Amino acid sequence: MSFEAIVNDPATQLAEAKWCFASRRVNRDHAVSLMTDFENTRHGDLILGRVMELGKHGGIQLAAGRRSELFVGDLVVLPCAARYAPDQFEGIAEIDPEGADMLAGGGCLGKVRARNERVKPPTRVLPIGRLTNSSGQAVNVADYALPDPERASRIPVIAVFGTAMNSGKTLATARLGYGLRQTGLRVATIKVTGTGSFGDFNEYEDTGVHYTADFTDAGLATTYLVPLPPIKRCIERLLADAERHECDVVVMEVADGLFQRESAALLADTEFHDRIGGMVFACGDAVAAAGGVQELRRLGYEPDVLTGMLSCSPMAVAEAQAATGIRVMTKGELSDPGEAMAILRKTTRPETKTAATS
Amino acid sequence: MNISALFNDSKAFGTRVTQMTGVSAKGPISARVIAPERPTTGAPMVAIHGISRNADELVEHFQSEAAARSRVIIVPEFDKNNWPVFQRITGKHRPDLALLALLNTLRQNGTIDDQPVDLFGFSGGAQLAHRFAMLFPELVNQIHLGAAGWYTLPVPTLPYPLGMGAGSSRGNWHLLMESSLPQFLKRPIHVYVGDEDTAQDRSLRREPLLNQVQGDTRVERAERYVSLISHCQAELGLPVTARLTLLEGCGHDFAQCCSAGGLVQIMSRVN
Repeated sequence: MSFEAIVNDPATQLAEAKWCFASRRVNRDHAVSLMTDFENTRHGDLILGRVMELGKHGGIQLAAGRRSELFVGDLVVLPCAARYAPDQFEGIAEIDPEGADMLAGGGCLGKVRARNERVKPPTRVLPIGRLTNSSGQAVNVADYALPDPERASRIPVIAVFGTAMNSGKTLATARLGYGLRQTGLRVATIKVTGTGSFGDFNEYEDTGVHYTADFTDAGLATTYLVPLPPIKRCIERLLADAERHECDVVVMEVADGLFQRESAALLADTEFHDRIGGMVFACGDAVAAAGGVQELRRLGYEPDVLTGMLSCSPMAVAEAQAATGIRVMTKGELSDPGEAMAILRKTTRPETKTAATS
Repeated sequence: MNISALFNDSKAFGTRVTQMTGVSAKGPISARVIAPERPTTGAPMVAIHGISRNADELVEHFQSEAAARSRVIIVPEFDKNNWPVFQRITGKHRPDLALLALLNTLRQNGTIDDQPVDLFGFSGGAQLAHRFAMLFPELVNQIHLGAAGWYTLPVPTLPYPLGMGAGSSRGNWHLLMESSLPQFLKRPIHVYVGDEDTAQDRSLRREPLLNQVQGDTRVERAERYVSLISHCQAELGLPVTARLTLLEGCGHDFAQCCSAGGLVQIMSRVN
C-alpha cells in the first residue's frame, strides 16, 4: 500500500470518527472506502468530515445515545440531509466540498438556507468523502431501514400534533405513553417526522414504554423536503414494527406545526386521516389553540384533548377551552392511567380493509 | 417486585403464599400472593379486604380456590399509614394506582400474564373493586362484590362518588367512568350479601341522599344496585349479567360468609 493510501485509509479515520445518532443502525463494517464526488450526494448518504469551525452545535449526539463535545479537528460521520427548524436553521441536502454546515446535533449535514437571527452560525465541517461499501455504492441510512411490512398494520394510533416547534408535543407523547403503560398495556411511542435526534427518543425511552422508534429507524435521516409517499411508507414501517413488538397502542408524534410542509401534507392525506384513531393537540397558547383547532376541523380532524405549554396557565386553559370546546389536559393528567385510558377509549381502530398507507 | 419473604407455605392446599411489595405514585402497597403449586390456568384474581384490613382472613379462605382453579390470587394489604382511605377513588386517594402497581409488578416478574383479572372485594374492598372496574373495565374479567356498604351508581344525575355526575371530588372521575361505562356493563357482576347483613352499624355510611337512593341496609343497597345494573345492561342491549346472591344466615362478617354462607364456593361456581 502506498504512503498516500495509508494516510487516506478510511478505516482508521472511520474508527476514530464520532458517528452521529442518525447513523446508529448502520453497519460500520460496510463502509470500506470514500468517494469525493459530493455533487452526487443523495439524502441520507453518510459523509465523513472534519470539524473546521465551531458554531451553533458545540456537540454531536452520538449513536451510543450520549452527547459528545466537539473540537476543531474532530472527525465526524453525519448523513447529508435537509433541516426545518424555525428557531435554528433551514437547510438543504447539499454538500459543498469547501465546507458543509452541521444543521443538527443528531446528524444532519447540508447547506444553510436561512438562519434564525438569535442563533450562531452553524458549525462548519470539511467533507472528506462519502462512505461507500465494497460494491462502490454510497452507504446510505436508508439501506439499514426497517423492512416494509407484508400487510397493513392494525394497531390503534393516537397522533400528537402541535401548533409549532416547542409547543409540548414530545412531553405529551411521552406522558401519554407513560399513562397508558401503567395500565399494563404494551405501549409504543414513535416520532414520524422531523430531524434525527436522541432528545425526543430518549424522553420516550425514559417512560419505560415497550417500544420506541423514529423515522431514522425507517431509513430517513430527516423528513424535511422528503415527498409524502416515502414518509407514509416510513410510518407504516414503524407501525408494523410496533405491532411486531406486540404493542397494543402507538402514540405517534408528528413534528413541528400544522403548517409545516410535511405535517400539512400528512394531515391533508385521506389515507393518513383514516389511519389516525385519536389526536392530541399541543398548543403554545390559547390563540394558537383556537386557530389550530379551526384548521384541524377544516381538514376533518377533531382533537380529543389539547395540551402543551398552554396547560401550564389556568387562564390560558380557560380561554382555550372556551374557544374550542375541547378539554385541556396537563402533563400530570396525561400521565394518569385513568385519563390515558379514557383517551384510548375514544381512539378508533383501523378497519380491516384499510390498505397500506405506503 | 420485592418478594420480601416466603410467607406461608401450605402443602395442605397445594399453594404457596409469598409477600410482595409494589410501588405506586401514591405510596407502596404490599400484597400476599397465593400461587398454586401446579402451573396456573385460570385467570388471576385480586381479592380486596374491607376496612378491618383482614388480609390474613382472605388469604386463609382463598387458598383452596387458588389450588382448585389453578389460579394466582393476589390479596393486597392497604395499610393504614399509606392508605387511610382505600374504598374510594378521589383526587387525594388513589388506591386504583396501588392495584395497577401490583398487577404491573406481578406481570413484570412473570407471576401473572396479560389477561384481565377477576376482582373480588368484601365490604370496603367491594367498594374499591367496583370503582376500579368502572375506571378500568378493560383490565377486569369478572367482578365479585361482597357486602359493599354502598356503590357508585351509573346515574349521571347523582354526584360522584354516589353517581357519575360532576362531584366535589378533585378529578374527572365522572367523565372517565362515563367513557368506560359500556365496557363496565359488559362484565359479569356478581353481588353477594348475607341475608342478615341488615344492621345499621357505625361502619355503614349513612347520609340522607345515600339512604334515599340506595336504601338503609347492605341487603337493600345490594338489591337496588343489582336491579339498576341489570336495567342499564338491558337498556344498552347487553346480556343482563348482574346477579345477587343472598348468603343464608350470614351477617356482615367475611369469615362467616365463607364458612356458613359458602361464599368462596359460590364464587367458584359462578366464575
